[in-house]
Amino acid sequence: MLLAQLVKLSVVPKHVVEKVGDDAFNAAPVGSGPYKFESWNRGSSVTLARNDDYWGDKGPFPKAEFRAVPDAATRLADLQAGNADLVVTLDADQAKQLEGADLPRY
Amino acid sequence: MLDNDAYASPAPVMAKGLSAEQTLKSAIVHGVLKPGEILSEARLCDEFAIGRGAVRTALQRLQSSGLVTSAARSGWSVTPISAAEIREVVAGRRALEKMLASVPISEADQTQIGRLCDMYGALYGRSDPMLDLQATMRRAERDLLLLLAVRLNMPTLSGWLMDLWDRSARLINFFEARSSVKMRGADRAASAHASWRATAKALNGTSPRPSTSWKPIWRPASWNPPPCWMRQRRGGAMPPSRRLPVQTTSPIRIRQGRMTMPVSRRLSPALLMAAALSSVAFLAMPAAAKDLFVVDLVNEPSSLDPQKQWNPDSYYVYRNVFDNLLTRDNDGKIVPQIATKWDYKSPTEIVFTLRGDVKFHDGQPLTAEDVAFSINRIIDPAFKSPQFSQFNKIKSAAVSGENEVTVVTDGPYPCCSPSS
Repeated sequence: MLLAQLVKLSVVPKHVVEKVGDDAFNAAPVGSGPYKFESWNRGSSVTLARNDDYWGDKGPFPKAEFRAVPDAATRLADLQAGNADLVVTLDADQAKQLEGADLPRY
Repeated sequence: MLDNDAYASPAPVMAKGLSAEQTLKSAIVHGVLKPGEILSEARLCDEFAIGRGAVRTALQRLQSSGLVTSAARSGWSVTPISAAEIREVVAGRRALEKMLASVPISEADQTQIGRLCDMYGALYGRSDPMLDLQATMRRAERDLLLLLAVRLNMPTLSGWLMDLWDRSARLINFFEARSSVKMRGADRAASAHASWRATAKALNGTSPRPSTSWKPIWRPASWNPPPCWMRQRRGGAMPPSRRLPVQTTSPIRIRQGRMTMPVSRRLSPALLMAAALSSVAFLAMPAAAKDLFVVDLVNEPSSLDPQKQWNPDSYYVYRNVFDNLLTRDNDGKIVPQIATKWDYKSPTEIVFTLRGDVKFHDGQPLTAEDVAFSINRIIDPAFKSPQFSQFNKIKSAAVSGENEVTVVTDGPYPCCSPSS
């Protein structure tokens, strides 16, 4: 149904997109969400900063960094060593290694 | 990362046999299923929570890849490590990888190759005992080779290459597990960069940077592709099928649409997990009292324009930067975000009422104009949004009052869309 599709619709600012163009907008996106774009270090990471004026529930962290870590073993090691707080896409065997690990409950 | 088309939809539908193949392949490459181990179909069904038919198909495919062998009366087994196996892998790679030298490379490929080289180069020569950098380097190298293999445009040959790389990875994993010596990769960054520059020069007549010595990047003498989930292979299959249960949402938005449902084994409930697409996210630290929250994605976002790209790694980032018109709650129910309510004016017209208190990060208010613009931007064929097909039933969106947008659809919208 239409509503299910519109769940995927992000609202972009017309005045910014029209002014800077699609490419510049991609390089430095301006949204209305709980975090603001801060910087994009090409090839390695994107940093966001909390939007303190957010209309809804504000984000819990002043900053968030999203890093490109292509190797799953490295992601697992990062999580275990505390270098990362959240990692995506571990397989079941790696997940088992975390089982029983002393990771704080949240 | 390499084939953006594979990311056109965030949750590619995967044939069961393929996912079983990926799962078993990974288990073999990583030595979970040991060389020479007898593979009982019944046990694999049980162990990996996949059906009998899927297991058999997967084993047949893996047999043709060389990772599994079958013998009369004794059934399936993992191909043992032998001199013959090593010889075949090395000879195969020597023969086939040469072809990658003549692959035509587009400008987009060059950029991609440049990125991979940068990543490789940044890691090469660093030694950080805390991190398994070698594995990341191997992954970057494998991606590099994969990109070239895909551009060969010879599916059978590139399939053979990928099989050989998997077999190499298995050999390396096998030997490294038994020794403290780690296989050291060649400094491919420099050589690959050289090839990249040379290609750029050939294509554009200019050299982006002073060229260093030319060395081929495929150098078969140092066979060391990394183990990896072959996301790009055969239609963009996603990582393993052994999905894990969903526990809760994370303080950072990381889910997309409805959560994928858990299969097979359950993990300790003490672990906090947020599932995204077919992958699984793991959260380690308590949410409070952290100044910087660090997330390890697989790849760099391919785009941060929410309407230009749609892949998990982009989504994780941009979903925090943008609000959506509607969203889903933890039960998957559609609930307001920017729109506070919606009414069907007719079977083809819906009127959305919007919040009036939302500001963009530049301080400007979010208005009905912005919502209509966002919809019209994504349905403009010239804009070429990868999400276009998701929205192409929408004919138009127009401001119909202060904080009100009317969306007109091309006939009543079909109900029960599979992606809903």
